[in-house]
Amino acid sequence: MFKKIITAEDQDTTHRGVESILKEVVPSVQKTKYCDDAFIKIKASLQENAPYEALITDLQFEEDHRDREITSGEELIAAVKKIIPDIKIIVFSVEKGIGRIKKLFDEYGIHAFVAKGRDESLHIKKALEAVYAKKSYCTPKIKQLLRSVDDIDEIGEEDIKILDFLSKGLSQRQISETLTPSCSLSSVEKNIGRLKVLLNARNPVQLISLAKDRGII
Amino acid sequence: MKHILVASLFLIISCKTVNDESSKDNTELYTQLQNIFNNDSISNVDMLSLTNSYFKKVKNTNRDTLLYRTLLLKTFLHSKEKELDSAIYYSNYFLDKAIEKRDTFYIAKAYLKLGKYNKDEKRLSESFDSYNNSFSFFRSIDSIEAGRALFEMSKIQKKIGDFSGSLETATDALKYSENTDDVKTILGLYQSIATVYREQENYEKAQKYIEKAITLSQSPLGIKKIVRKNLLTCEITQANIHKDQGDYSKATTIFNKLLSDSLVIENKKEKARIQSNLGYTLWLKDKENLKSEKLLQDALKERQKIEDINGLIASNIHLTQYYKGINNEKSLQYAQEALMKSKQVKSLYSIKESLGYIIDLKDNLIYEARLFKEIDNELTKLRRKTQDIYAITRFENDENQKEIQALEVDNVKEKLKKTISIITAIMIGLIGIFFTLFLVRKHKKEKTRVVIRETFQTERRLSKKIHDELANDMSDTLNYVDNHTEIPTTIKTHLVNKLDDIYDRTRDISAEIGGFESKDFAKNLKFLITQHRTKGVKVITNVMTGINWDIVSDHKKINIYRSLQELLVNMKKHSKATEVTVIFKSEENKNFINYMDNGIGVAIDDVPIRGLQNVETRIKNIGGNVTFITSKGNGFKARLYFLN
Repeated sequence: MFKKIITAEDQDTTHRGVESILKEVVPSVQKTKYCDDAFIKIKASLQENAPYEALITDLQFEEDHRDREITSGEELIAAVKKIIPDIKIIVFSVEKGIGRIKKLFDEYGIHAFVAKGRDESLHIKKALEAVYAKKSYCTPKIKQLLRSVDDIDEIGEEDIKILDFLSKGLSQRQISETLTPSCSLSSVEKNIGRLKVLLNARNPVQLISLAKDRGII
Repeated sequence: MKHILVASLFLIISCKTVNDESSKDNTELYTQLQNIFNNDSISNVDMLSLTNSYFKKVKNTNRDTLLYRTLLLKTFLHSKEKELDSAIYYSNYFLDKAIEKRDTFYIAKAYLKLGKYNKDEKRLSESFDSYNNSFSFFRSIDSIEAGRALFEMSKIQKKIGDFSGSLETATDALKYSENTDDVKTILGLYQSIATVYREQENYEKAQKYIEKAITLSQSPLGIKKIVRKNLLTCEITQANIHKDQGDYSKATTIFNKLLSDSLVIENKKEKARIQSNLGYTLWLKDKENLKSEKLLQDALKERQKIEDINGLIASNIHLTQYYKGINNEKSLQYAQEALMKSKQVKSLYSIKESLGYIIDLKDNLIYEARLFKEIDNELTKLRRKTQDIYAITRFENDENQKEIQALEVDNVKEKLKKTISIITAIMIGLIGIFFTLFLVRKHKKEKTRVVIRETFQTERRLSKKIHDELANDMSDTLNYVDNHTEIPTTIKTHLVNKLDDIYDRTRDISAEIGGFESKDFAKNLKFLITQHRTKGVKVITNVMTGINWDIVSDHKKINIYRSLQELLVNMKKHSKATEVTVIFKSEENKNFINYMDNGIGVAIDDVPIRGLQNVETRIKNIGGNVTFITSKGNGFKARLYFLN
């Protein structure tokens, strides 16, 4: 398990459960309330040749009397990654916006996302274990949300062209010859098959009618 | 020491005076001066006043060489008397005179002085710049001085933590010094290079250079010229390299050997230095040994007694490390002491190092964080500046050099200056005009942008507030209740479920109103759709390819995003739909978005839905239009149309 980690979290009174779990699992846990403090401590740890191995950070940090340089979790993550590229990052937040979470994984390269809420300490522990074993981790609801991005059925330009040609009475062979960029007969067939499943159509005629209903063509 | 320095100054001067035309007159005065300096009973202050009277005499005459000499002595004495302001002032005066007469050797000499005095004044970038100038004049006339100037530059770079820069400069210095008999500089360079490699944790190379230094000191020329004290530094460095490599017994052996050296026994400063290093090494080897604490404390006390500030910084840092973990309060005290001393000598790098320990040991860091940042910035700035300064000199090729010399001879320099100032004036004028134009345009743009953004920002602010504050508080309350053992389970389960539901909805509000980026707009629209899709709802869309959003303005994107959001919120909340289609289409400069669901629909005439009115207003605002086709029980269709 990790030996030295750091947390950035401005909610003071709370998350005692998380705190005690962390103390149980990791020998050295440094708490900070400001991103700036977290960053500077991480920088100092590097100077002492004993860098932090993981960072657990919130995304939102409320404004108070102190002037801040780094104001959000994302900025902190980016800054920290710059100086310790292989540090493990766990985000611990109330965030539910899929765009923001997806971006955290895709662009900020975080390793785990734990949503605040029920059983949060349990999930923090699981996340630490997963991240330590070089895996990523998400709390179930968030995982489901992320997965649903791929559950959306997308149709492309070519699909729309095929439907359009079909509605104009072209045969599948003619479609494969007319399409630019050209497309083999078998892949035209395959595409029509997929569209039928997608729109729940039994035959080409019904497919066209459904596509028209739905405003696709 | 004083006499050696003065004598060497005279030596340099006399070498250069051979060809002086008014040498007879000069020699006379020169002899007088020399006699005074050879007199032991005269104090620095008296010498200075004598030099001043000579200075007044020769100031307005044409006896250049004598003036240079007097100034060399005058500035030297000022610096001895710690009157650095005067030393710098007269070095500049000296420089001006030498430039006026185009006397390259003395120009270089004046720069060398400015480098030294500015360094004493902790004006590191000015010092570096002066040494650099000195080097560029010396490099074609005097290898020894050129090497020395570069050595000073590399020391400054090391001081500000630019180790690779320091290494580069020191290596260049070696090219000049290695072919001369200036073994002291060569030894210094070897030692300096070794410490830089040590900092970079390249111990093999560090070891190699320190061995080179020791071998040099044993060569015939080395034995003649290198004093024991210079070698001592090398030996301490060697022991420290062993220590860094983890070879503690080798390091300890060297330190112990040095402690019994007669030179060290007499020299309190060096003794304290070795003791502190030995104590630290023993501690690294065995954290519970009984000797370390005493050695470290003794060294500290000795250094306090002899007021060795740099030594005190090192001692305090050793003690910070020693007490860290055993007695953090004490450790912090030593770190703070180290910081204070570092500030006293204005050593940025030591300030940063001490701060690093304080930051690690202390909790409330408002002051330290700011200072750390400031120092870090300053160091970065200095590093960049010095790098820029030397990079130019380094790559000036010989031809360039010749050109400059030719220009000097032909007095074309003045012309060049004139041309440069004209060009500069034109440039400044042009930049001014462009800048004004830029500002005017920016202001105009800003104005429209502000109007568009205002509504958007209000929405964001509110949603952020809900999200950041309410959602966090909800999650806290939820956890509080969940972990509270006094609440009976029957009530708790219900309460927790209820709270969890509220918490989740708070998060939804924010996710719904939350922001988006116009940069990756198609992707953001896809996320928008995903966010509103409940489990089991089938969504068909060509959101990623239907419309090329790159050519649509941000203002339109915002309104499209919000409109689509209204439709999707309605779908999620009221429609009970199981199938949703969102199709995007472009024809020339016209864009369409067709939305359709199979939900329960609404009777538009019966209940005017505010959300839908919003959609209408928004789309009309961007010069498009929207039609809704719906009736109770027949799903919901919306067709949005707008121009690029």
